[in-house]
Amino acid sequence: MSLMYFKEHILPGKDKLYRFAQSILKNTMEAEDVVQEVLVRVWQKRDSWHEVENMGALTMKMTKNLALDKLRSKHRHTDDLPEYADWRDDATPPDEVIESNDMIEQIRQLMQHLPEKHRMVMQLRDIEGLSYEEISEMLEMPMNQVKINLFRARTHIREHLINSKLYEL
Amino acid sequence: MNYKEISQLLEKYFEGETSLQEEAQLREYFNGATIHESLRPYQPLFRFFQSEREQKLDTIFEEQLLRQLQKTEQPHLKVRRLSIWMARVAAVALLTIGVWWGYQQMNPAKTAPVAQAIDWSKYEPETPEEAYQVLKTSLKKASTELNQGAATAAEEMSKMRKITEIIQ
Repeated sequence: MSLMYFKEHILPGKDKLYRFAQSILKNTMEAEDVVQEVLVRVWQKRDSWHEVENMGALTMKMTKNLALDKLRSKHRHTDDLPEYADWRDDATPPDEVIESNDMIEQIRQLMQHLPEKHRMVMQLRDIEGLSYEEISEMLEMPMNQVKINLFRARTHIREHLINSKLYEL
Repeated sequence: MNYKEISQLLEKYFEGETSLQEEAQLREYFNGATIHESLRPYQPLFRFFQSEREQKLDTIFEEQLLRQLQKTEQPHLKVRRLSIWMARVAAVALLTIGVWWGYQQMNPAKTAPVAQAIDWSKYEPETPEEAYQVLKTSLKKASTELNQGAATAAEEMSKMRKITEIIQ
């Protein structure tokens, strides 16, 4: 019974959790580990599912917390990670990216440079298509802050789009 | 949607004023085939959003996860089964010890006769007659001791029966 509920209502959200974890960790393997850990934890707490009002928001919140913990412990254990490191383990080196004129890849890197809060809000709104209320709950952030962070993220990206010659390529 | 409408929507988007539905319209427009020349700078952004939405976990992930869920399930059940079994063993052991202790309390210990080690050199026969005598004596002794043993066992059994009656 629990397994059926899990498969029908919780498991379908796995890709969304994965993309969110990946936007924080910038590493596909680690993002996968985080999603797995979140889903296993949720399964182990199946006796208290009935107390959960919004399972989607809960799993997203858990993903955010675990991914941030992982990111912070990684920063503690490695020498200062280069701020502009490639955000994907399978990413093409930056020089080649520029040479290949991959516009989408450049946007990806642009987004990577955004401050953490800006990036998380943009990920949940512009990629996942979530409402401000949902984002506010998931990120445990007041709604006006959600809107401010989103506004700043979009403005920052816009400036780069206009100033860069991306569209001329 | 025409150029004017899209430009207005785009402005609204960068002001943070668009609804989810309007944002979906923008995604649709910029992922379409015809994009107005002046709007082309924004195309990569909306194409990026679209391509990100298509990122998915490997299909094998689900299989592995469900297998892991079963694994986390097993030790839970195992422990429960073991504890019931252990409880049963413990209960039987406790009852046995209790009965034995009770029996010890009611009947102060009688020291059981300890068999003496046989000094075989004494019985070393020298003649066939002597050997026959030795054999006869040994068999007689063994027979007497066996009878004594059986009598003691019978006595113990009747005491156990009485204890059982008292317990019940």
